[in-house]
Amino acid sequence: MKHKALLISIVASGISAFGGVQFDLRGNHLFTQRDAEADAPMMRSVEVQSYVHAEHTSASGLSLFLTHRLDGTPHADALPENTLPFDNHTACGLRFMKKHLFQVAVENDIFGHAENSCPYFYPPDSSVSRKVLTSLNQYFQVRGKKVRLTVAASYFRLNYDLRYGDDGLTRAVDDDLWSEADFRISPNDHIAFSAGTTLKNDFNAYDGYDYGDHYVSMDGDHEVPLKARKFSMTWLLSGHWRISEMMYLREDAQGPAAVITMRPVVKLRNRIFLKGATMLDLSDKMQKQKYELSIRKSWKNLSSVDVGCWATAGALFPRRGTDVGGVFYLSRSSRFGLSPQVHLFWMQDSDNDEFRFYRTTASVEMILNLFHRAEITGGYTWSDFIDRAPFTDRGVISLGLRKW
Amino acid sequence: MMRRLLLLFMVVAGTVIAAGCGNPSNSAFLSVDKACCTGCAACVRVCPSDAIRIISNKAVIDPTKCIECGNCIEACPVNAIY
Repeated sequence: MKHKALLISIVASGISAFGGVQFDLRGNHLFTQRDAEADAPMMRSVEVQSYVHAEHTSASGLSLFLTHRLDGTPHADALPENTLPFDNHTACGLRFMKKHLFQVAVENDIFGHAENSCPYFYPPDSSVSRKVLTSLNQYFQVRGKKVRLTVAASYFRLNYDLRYGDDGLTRAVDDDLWSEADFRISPNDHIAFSAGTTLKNDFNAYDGYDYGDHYVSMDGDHEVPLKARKFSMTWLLSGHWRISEMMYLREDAQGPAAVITMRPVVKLRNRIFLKGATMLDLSDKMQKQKYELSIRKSWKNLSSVDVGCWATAGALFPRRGTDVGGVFYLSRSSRFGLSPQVHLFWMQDSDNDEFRFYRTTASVEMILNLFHRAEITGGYTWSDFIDRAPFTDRGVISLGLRKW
Repeated sequence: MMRRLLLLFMVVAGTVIAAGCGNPSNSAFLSVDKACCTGCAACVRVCPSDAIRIISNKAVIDPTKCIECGNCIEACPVNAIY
């Protein structure tokens, strides 16, 4: 009993030391429909989704932060598409932010019931099951009036089980280092020039799995009043040089490339926004394009409706589709709220009329306000997938507690 | 200024659409639209080849390990992978 009281007091004092604690804890009852195409039987399972973030900042600008995320189900085959059915993620770190920014963090993921798979970069007749992923991240940014230098590095260690045919189990590790350097100079508030590099070093495979992306770029954002409307646009033009022996062997698009991104937004009257996006990645072997056009109507109580269409060309799966979504906050009291949501997503392969994919998600959430920024939630969500294995139709009844 | 920006956008977009459509590529790898990505890790959980990492709260796809199954495209709740 004394131990319990001590533990509770330690946890309570730990939480109170962190001024900004936010969490979203949710328990779900999940049930999926039998799907012959996905070869998935009907399944019932519990599912946990929790997120806790705590941060304590001292007057000197030093912050200590802690994040924990738990996501998953004890039934490995409850959601057939998940190769990692259970993920326990913990991250903690220190951030020092004054004129410059320095951050160092350690992250850890423990995977439960990970699916056995055999990606092509492991020996044939072997299977791999991921167990633990640990990473050490550092982020350093020096900022001047018009210049900014960013250096970041993330070291990942994956512990996994490897099985060769009938030879039994081998415990193995895979180490990767992702590093990034970026130098940015802004002559004025609207335009900036950057140069940098992103590198991945794979320490356990031969050098062919290393990857490098060196780039120079120019980006900007502009805002123009247009009578009663407002037009804004962000854009990016960049030239890349991608280097990877494996991509060369697979005849993927390495070498020089140009990337162009434009995002215009027109704010019309009555909280109506017209948004567009153009993304292009062009090289001698690739003409990848994505276009989006959408309209959004929002209300003061944060309710909104979005209608959009999009198309990709030259991409891995050239597609076109429509996306319609809405979230409505219905409330007559400050204590109780109701929030129905609906989201319709349709997609078709541009080169294959027979390949279509529909996803419909409808949900309703009840919200009971406990006190300032803390509430109990309960809801029901139904997701319907048509023609898309391994995703199966599913329903979720959830009960949760959140604070932000 | 406004008209010039609109004109520039339409000319560039129109030129590229005309040049690119009907010009199928023989190689393409998946990209993440970092402006949309929320770092929710839904793509990590469905990736069978461990090709996705979350770095600085954004998904990063390792093109040397991606097996192009497309599961991450469908799992992404904000349509940020293409």
